[in-house]
Amino acid sequence: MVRLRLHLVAGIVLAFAVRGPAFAADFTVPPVPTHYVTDNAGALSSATQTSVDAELKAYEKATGHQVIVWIGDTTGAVPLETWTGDTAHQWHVGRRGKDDGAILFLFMHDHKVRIEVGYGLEGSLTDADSSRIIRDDIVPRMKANDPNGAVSSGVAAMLTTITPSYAGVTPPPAAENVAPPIVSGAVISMFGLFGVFMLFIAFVIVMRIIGSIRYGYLVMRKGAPAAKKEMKGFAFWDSSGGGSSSSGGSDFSSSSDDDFSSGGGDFGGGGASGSW
Amino acid sequence: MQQRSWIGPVAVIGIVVVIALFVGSAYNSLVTLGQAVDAQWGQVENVYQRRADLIPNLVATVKGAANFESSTYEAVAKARASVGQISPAVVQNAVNNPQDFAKYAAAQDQLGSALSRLLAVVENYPQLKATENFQTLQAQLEGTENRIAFERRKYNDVAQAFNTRRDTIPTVFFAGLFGSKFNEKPYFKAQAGAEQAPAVNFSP
Repeated sequence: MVRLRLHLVAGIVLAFAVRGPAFAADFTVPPVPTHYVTDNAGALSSATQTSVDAELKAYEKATGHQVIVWIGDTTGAVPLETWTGDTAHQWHVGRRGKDDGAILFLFMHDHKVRIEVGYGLEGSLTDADSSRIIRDDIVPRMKANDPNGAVSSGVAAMLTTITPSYAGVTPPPAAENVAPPIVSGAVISMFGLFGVFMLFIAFVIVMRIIGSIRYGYLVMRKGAPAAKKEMKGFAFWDSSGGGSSSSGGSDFSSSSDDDFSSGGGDFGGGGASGSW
Repeated sequence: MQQRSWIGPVAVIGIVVVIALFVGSAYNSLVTLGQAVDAQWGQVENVYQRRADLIPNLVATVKGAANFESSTYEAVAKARASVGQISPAVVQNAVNNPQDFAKYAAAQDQLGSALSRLLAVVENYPQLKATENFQTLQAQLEGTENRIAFERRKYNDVAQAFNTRRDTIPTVFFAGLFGSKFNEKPYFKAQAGAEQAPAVNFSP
């Protein structure tokens, strides 16, 4: 019994105390960017911002790889690599399973730059490559007070290093980018029409239940007549109740086509750092 | 009245079934969390191996520099050899054996500090430092150190998830019944400077 109690105490203590070298939330990770280029320090001209954004979007369309730029002021007391590594890990840039994302971080107040490379791109954008890009393309321009040049040439160097054949603007379509059909013909025929029918019935029933819960909720909040009025617009396929969060893969285009949304890729601390 | 006679046994069977389901699901959750720890431990081993693979090239490069202090690269080679002495099987099972874990982590930490001493000494050899070959090596080494810090933190996270589940109710009641399978997973202790990759300065 004493042993058991010790275990309990150990469990409780562990749950609170061993947070020491914890990985998540040692600092506040900024929200997942909604554009390919995010400039929180006002370092870039709007022309550069627009053109690099468009370039990175076209690049993702062509190759599937997600490359983004994020400019901030400082990482505060957090070491640069810890800050960018944890942030990249939580943003999930790149596709799930392929982990083919890369992020160019610039910190204007700290005078620091880092390229974070997802697991899947470590082979084509090696640490030595990242280091060379920082040394040759970014740092000299930052020193010359030319952040626009630094970002556009740094990004261009990253893209051509990852995809040597990538020529920019009108990219060739990539075969690997074609999404597989969700349900193949064989599965449907195996499953049978009857199964599809049953699924549909189940779907309708579930939607009815959701509808009645929603109705009850609205009655509770607004009273019956208002609820009835609001429910008129509630078709059974309406899904306005659940907002979709963008990170974590498989999102079905939650927002407009111009925006960036991360695909679920993971990072392992690859890349390089520099300062100017 | 006769009907009541079988209520007792049925209730007992019911309770046994519920307990079995309970234990089963707790067991499964420990297995799942344990597999996450094993997988992450594999990642840690990978990045350590990656560092070890860079060392022959590094030693060859600094040896080529005129009268480079031999004691520094000899220390690196020695530390690498002592890491290599720990058998792969022991390393693989280290998450279930705190002593082996501590031994392995200490050997790797020693190699890490021998390497950073060597890199510090290179500062005195500007010609060596300026070569393309060395700059590439340095970028690779720094990247690898950063990966090591990163994977170690990830490992501590999954180990903590396992330990928390293991040491809380209800799993704590039976985790010990399965031998060393569900031992508490050891943690990497933060060593001075390990959380931070070596600073890079690209100014000429």
